[in-house]
Amino acid sequence: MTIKIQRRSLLKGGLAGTVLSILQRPKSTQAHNIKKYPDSYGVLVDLNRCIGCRSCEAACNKEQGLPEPNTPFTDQSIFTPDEHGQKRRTDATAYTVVQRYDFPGQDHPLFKKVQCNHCLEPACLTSCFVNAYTKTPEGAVIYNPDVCVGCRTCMIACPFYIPTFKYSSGFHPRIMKCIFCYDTRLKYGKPPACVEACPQEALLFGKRDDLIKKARRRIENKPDLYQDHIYGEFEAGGTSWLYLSPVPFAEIGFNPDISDEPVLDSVKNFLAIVPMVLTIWPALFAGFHLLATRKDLQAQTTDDTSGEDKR
Amino acid sequence: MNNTPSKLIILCIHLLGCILFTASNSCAQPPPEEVIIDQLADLYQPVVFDHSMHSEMYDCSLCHHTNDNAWQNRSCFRCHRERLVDDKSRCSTCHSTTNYKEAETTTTRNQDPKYHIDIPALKGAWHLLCRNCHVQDDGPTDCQGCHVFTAKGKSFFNEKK
Repeated sequence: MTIKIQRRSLLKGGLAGTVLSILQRPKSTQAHNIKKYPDSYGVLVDLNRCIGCRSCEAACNKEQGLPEPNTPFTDQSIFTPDEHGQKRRTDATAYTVVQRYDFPGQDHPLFKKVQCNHCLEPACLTSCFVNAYTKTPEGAVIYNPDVCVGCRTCMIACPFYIPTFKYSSGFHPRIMKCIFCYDTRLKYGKPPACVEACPQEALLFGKRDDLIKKARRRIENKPDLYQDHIYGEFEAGGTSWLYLSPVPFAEIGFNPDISDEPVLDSVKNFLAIVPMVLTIWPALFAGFHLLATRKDLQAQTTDDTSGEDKR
Repeated sequence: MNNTPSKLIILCIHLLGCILFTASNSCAQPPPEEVIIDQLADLYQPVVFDHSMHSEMYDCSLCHHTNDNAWQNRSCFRCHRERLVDDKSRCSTCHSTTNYKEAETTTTRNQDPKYHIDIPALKGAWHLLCRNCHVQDDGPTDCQGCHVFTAKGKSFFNEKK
């Protein structure tokens, strides 16, 4: 067996590939223009009002058909941090969890509901190479398990550590995360189950633009009760779920270092190279390998033919 | 999805449809001993509200904030003067029985809403008013302290027994 590779053709191909890759660079690397859905919905979470009753968790569990919890939703001992001092977080059995923050010297703890924040420019969506995620015009970031390959890149990409993997179904990869009750409620303009269940109206459903106005008004009316900051208005390029808090957000587990630029902006250049690398590099390096081992191959083939001659 | 809480709540409201917290024109009328608050009862049994005990401890206008004395101090009064003589005025006149109204969100865009932009719905209004006071004055603050589960509520919260 002889393989004939023309050095000339290989170099030609490699050069053409390189030129192509240079020409096909992303056209603009300027500030990203967030693709806004102006009429999208959102939820305003007012941490001043949350009492940690976990009604939202119970409602989510029923609405999404999630597995029965180990302890009833009335169990308050679940707020105690684990042996590593970690607070509860979302997992494959809970799209939303309430965390408790105790402050020394304060009579009442602060409760914080955690769920997908439904970013305007979702990092999970950006990172997913099979396009399993969709940002709907209504504001939800939904997920399609049929195309998911279970790579879990979205879990790493999410700046809020929200998507979780259902390890019990490894052969049918399934990411578990809040979908804003899209299929059953949001699609029809109805509030998600957690919002409807909240007794304190700590969760307020509405158009995102209106919620920002309402949040501003709450801050204006009671400046001593609220931080002058709506978390999610700009963070990570803006999120559909917004938070108001009486204490600085950094003190209750919100990451203050999340940039206002969408995550997409910092990875766009890299992501544009990925398809190029995947298509050109294998051919290019296979070519280099064949080139480098050509002499050995030739020697082998001449050995073989000389052996045949002797026989 | 016949079993969604929203539908059942709305059904309850339609079925019961009773007048609650009837705000009298003044505190001159004899107040009721007990008030059954069942307008939104679904997961929890109706609240048997000890009205006489609360009216002894607090000023009527603390809850009935459409009562004449308190009403004039509210910004609502600037437009809604007629509320004073409306004997049908009750919580749900201003506080919606659903916590989201489609109309509310479609009208306010590109406008400059001055009023009615952040009125809590009925469930929120009750809890924010009652519970905040209970926190201050050591009333019951856990859910079941005021209203016990119905069978539906028990299964909703995955309570065994």
